[in-house]
Amino acid sequence: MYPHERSLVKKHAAAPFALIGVNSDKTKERVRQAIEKNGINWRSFWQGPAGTRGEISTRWNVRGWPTVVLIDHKGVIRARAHSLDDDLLERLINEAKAARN
Amino acid sequence: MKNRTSLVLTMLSFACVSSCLHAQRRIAIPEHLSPEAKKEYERLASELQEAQAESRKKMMENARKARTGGARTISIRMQRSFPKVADEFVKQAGSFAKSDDAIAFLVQASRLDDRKESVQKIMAKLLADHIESKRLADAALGLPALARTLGNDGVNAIAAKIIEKSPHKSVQGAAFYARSTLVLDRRGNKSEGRERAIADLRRALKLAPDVLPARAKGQLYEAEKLQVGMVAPNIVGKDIDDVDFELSDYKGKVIMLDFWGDW
Repeated sequence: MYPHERSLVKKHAAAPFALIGVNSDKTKERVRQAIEKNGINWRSFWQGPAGTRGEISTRWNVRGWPTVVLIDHKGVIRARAHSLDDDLLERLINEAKAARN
Repeated sequence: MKNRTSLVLTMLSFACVSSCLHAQRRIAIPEHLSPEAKKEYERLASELQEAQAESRKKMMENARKARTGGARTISIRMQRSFPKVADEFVKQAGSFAKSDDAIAFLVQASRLDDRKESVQKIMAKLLADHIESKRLADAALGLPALARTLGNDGVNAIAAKIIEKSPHKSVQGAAFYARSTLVLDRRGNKSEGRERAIADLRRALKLAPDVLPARAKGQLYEAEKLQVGMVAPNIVGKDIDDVDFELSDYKGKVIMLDFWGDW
């Protein structure tokens, strides 16, 4: 997943797009290592030592990892799944661009 | 995701999944057991663990064969039914007769069995002998997992009986919760059952807040706020450098919200 996410962030750097993580690692050291090792170039919420049972993933009822939620430029949830729907993401970015012009 | 017992592995995740499969599976010993019951339960739990380890070994062996055979994706099926061990649990339940200890054995047996008739028998016994017990909540909470053997209708019928006959709010609440979970956990389900399921879940949270699993509130939140087509609620938190930020900071952009972990 990392290489694909990394390239998405680069590819859409100028587009109205943000990849936001909700990380469930229990220690900061672990996250830092992962960030360094895998060249992670997006910002994440960190949930503290509760890990997968952290506040955000519990509230959002996330039980499988990864879980990807796509939210359009109007703030509407458009998909929720355990993998990314690349075509839908492209469509949403195009919608957002069109709305800007 | 229709068949939740099968996992499709890509080559990349193979190593990770196989290590996870080896690592997991400590069978939880229920609290509240009497010392004698605990001893017996532990004995059966280790028997179960051995059976699971054996089946897992076979499964990984098959996956490995498929991989060396050049398969790009490997479908594996984790065995969840161990009817022989289930029978042992039922037998032990008999020796603790009508005490609360028996409930724990019967609940475990109902999970391990995939023969419809024996699961029906186990549930009938729970209802007949233990309807007055508060611990019947454990049986109620386990109901959704029984849908694979009893079907949704079978599970709903049992939940309805528990709601009707149990004298305890907490047990009734657990049964409401089971009934709602059956509907709400099928993501993307837009059937007419949803409204009732949400009402059931609200009621469960009112009746049995201390008995329900931690994710019950999340289930309600998801059902009411996180459906496709709804405006995403804000998230307020801190990043890895302890800097406060919010989802709404990215308003106007397409957001790919990625729940991840490096394990």
